[in-house]
Amino acid sequence: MEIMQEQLENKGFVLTQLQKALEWLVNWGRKNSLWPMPFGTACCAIELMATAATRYDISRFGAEVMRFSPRQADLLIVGGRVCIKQMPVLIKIYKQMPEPKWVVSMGACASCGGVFNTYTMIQGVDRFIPVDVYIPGCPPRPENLLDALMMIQRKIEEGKAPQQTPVSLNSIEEITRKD
Amino acid sequence: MSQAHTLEIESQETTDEGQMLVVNFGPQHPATHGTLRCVFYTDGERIVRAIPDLGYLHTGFEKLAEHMTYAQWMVTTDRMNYFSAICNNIGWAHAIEEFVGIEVPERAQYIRMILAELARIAEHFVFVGLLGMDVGAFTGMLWTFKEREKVYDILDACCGSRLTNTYARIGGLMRDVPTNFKDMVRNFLKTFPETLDDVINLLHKNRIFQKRLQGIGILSKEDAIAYGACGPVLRASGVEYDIRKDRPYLKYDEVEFDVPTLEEGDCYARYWQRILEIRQSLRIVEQCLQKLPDKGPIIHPDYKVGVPQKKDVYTDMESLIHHFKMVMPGHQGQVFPPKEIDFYSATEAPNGELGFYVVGSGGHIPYRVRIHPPSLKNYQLYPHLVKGALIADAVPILASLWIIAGELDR
Repeated sequence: MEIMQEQLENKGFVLTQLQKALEWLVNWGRKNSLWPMPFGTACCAIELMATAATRYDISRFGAEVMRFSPRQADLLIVGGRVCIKQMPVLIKIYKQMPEPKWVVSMGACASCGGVFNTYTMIQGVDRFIPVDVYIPGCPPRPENLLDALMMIQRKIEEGKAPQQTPVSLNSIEEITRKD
Repeated sequence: MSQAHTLEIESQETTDEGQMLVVNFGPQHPATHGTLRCVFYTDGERIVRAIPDLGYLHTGFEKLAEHMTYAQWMVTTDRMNYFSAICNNIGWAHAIEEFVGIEVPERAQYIRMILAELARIAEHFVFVGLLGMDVGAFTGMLWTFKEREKVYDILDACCGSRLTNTYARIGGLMRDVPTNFKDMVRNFLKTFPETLDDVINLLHKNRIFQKRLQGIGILSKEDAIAYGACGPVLRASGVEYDIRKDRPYLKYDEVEFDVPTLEEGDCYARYWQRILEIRQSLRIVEQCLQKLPDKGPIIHPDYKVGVPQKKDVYTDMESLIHHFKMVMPGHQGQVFPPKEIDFYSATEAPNGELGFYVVGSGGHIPYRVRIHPPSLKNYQLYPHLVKGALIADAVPILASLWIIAGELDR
């Protein structure tokens, strides 16, 4: 949204109050109806399920519509460890999601490899896909996940663009080429 | 193995099979509970052949073991079967204790049993909820998670972690349970049967639930033994085999419980088997609560075996030295299996026989650790069971086998 605004202003357009109000309305709608795509692989997926279940009830934040099809989702939650064989699948899923899209890296393994510094593990999914919010913990408690969700909501509310580029631009071939 | 490589295999197979339709199932599919992948060759709606593709969650647990001490590796066992992490902890601690010959204090043994059975109840109960969800009954999942949270609360109060507990130590437990431990467990035992009945009422005689599961994925007794199935899958096919009964560990020989078996061997039997086992687990927990001594050590008092308690480390010189020698690398403070001897030890995890085969190196780091995961044994059955089944039945069959990807791929 911010980028769009800048582009428009560069071209000499002046945003009217009405346009700004409309933008606010769109952002308000977006933030309260995030549709997560749960990419749960391991332990964190169970906490993700617990967050969606009775006690923590993620629907209080409007994000209970778990979509297992990436084309219908705008929030990717990477929960659990991702190994080299799984990473191309994750990249594909990320690319299939429509813009604008946000990514939450849930737990130590997805964020930095966690305790598994082994020959198969991706040491952080942010080397391949852009990540907006990192959650520490092994696994994080449901409260942490809800906190991350609220961070995403705040980001949308302020009209900030989602993270566009990964931390380092590796390609999956670089890792697999060795074999 | 890269994705390009697996796709190559696929196209090759397609030409061999002629006009068959290839359906890719997973690795990101809500019914795979993680990261399983299976390629089905179908003739119309019937599955002719199924080829599972493993390794989407291969983490390298066994390689990690070769770089960690026996005590350190306890942490990674949690991440294998994350539905009942405490059972994995106990399994690994028990393997070392059994071989080295460490006597675990009675109180620690009963606490271990109570927590292991609670984890078993929680896992089986969530299994029922998720099986219901896979065949279209979403409510059950919410109800089962409500009870699971109560088990989490008990584990949380004991060790400060909900899911990955790392509560067991070689020779005992990390620390003592909270003072209101018995009340918490009694409270759970009081409220749980009500929800159990609710969920049974919801699902058991539900016509859709029955039609999706009865007579689907039948596993005969002979096949179950031949494929090496274990746990509730084996018992639902009529084989009475439970390590808690046949090769008792902890104090399982001092409590009364039955090993329920069923004859049908279909998905519905595997679901009902879990409910029957939950009831036996409740019996065990009740008896353990009565027998649990109020006072006593919770870890082996000899500092050459058990890690000194944290409160002693801060106040007592001797404990501090031993703690230092155990925790710092290169000191070899803790007891370890002697050189070049291999041993195997198994415990009954909720979904089957969880075994550890360890080759000692003589030092404090094992030479090799091989895990015998129940999920791998049960996943072997999957191509056999889905053969000839409808595509729609592939999901309940997979759910009824209860495959945990973390444990399967390790």
